[in-house]
Amino acid sequence: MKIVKVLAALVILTVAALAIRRHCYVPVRCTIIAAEVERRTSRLSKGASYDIAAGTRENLIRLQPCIDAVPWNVVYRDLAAANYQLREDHASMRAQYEAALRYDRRPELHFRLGLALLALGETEAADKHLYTGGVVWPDSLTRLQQPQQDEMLQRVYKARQGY
Amino acid sequence: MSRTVAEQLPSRRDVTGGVLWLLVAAVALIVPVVVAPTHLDAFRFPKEKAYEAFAILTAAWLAIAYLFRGASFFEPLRKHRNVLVLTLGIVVWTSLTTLTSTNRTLSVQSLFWVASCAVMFVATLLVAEQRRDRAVLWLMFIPATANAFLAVLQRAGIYNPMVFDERVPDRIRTTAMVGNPNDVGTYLLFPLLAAMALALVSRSPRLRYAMWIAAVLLTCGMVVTVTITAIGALGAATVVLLVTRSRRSIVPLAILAAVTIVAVVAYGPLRSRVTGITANVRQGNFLEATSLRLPAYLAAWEMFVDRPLLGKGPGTYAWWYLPYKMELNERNPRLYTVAVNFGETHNDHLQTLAVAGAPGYALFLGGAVMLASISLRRRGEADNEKQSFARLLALPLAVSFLVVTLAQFPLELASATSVLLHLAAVCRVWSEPA
Repeated sequence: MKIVKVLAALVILTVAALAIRRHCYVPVRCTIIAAEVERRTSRLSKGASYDIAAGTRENLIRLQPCIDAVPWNVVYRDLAAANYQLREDHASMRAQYEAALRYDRRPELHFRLGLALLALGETEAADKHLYTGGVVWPDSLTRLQQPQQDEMLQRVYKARQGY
Repeated sequence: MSRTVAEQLPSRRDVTGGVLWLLVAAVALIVPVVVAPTHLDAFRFPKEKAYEAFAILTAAWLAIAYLFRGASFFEPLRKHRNVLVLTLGIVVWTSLTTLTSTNRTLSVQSLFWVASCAVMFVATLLVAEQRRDRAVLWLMFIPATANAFLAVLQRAGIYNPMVFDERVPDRIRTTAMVGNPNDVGTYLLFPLLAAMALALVSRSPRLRYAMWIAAVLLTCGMVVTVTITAIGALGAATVVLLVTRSRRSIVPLAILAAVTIVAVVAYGPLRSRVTGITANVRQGNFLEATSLRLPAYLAAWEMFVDRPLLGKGPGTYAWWYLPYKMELNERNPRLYTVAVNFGETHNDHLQTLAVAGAPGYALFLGGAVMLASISLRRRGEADNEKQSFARLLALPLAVSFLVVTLAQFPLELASATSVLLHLAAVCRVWSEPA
């Protein structure tokens, strides 16, 4: 009987260890990966174009397990989308932001999705997301090109005045 | 009361109880100081995950204890049936609202957090019952005073281990090992009340002086964070302590109150914050008076009105905030000026209503009332120091919790929640005769 209890205790401890790994260790480990990838992405965005393909591929490979394990933390999708943007893969960038919005509706995610849609030529859908992002986070609108920037700023200004 | 710490540690024979004691002690000691500087979120997330990891280990250990020791190991919990029913009720309601949630993936994370809190609370009850030692309380003061001391050093510009951008204001640099200054102030509130209560009831002069020193240090730590809500909650709780306690306690408490008032008047950053809020309230600028949190409150209320019974689902407030804010903007264009995307309501009353509905809020209030009721029991003749401590602390603790949750969110912070649950469990056990 005692051996059965010892075996059961071992099973319980193993399950606990797996649960800690799945729910605590991996999400924390992923925040370290994200911090590293963020630094590398920032360097790539300022660096030479020949680095971009290899660098972003490596970043995306590192981010994928975190996206799978911690889908509710949109930081990983946001970073993946930034890397797709560097690769000028706007369709993948859009997919990442659309997936991210299922778990978090930060204005910056809306705005960046708007930029992806704009790059894909989907101006009507882009407009909606750019406005949502811009109205809460107006500073972001300076990233738009003219005349779209002025147009959007005017809409945001009017909304704020209650027109 | 003259037992040494070594004597208060678990006996060698009771390995099962000893390991449980170590797990509860580790949570009290470690969680409030867990920091991960290289991570994207250096403070809150690592603490939350450390707490959950300890809760998993504790749950596993409780299961093993049941295997080897049977139901007798849990016998001491029998007299806390009401508390256990409420704890179970909270977990069951969170599970139900997770099932009906508007975003189940997010709600599962919150359910996991709530279940972890429940496990640690029950484990602390059990440990406090089995050991009946004071070490279970003292341990909590070590990280609390360390955090308060670091906050003072940071604010005074003497020492700051964290690296900040030059543009970050001084107040925001007061992180201690907890997070932003509001988190620090909220966290320090609960150990501060415990230190005051212990200082008031202790018959040992050494312990009394040690606790008053701790209380002064914790007060300084709280004042330098300039967290108005926590300071207000401290004020309310101190009044309750004064009312609850006999006249002879009025002198030290009055001194502490005077020190706090002098600090408010003399400490520039706090004075300017208080005068700023007062001026805004007088002029009817409630948006500014609430540090621009008004849209967060309104959005939470609208969420509750839309789903009053089940709420939007645990952990979904941040996800719903933007759509509600857009609607609020349309109705009141002045709210457009608030360019903050709130991840928390900064009011746990409203956030509980928003995510868990009216029954969830009833459970929230039920917890506070059950804690407060410890102080309202009739004192028996067998009142000892521990009973006096528990009965003195419980009501002010509940009051401080209800006040601080008006503009902060301790239930979403591992540092504050862990210490609050720890104290609540200790109060519950110590209030009863051994």
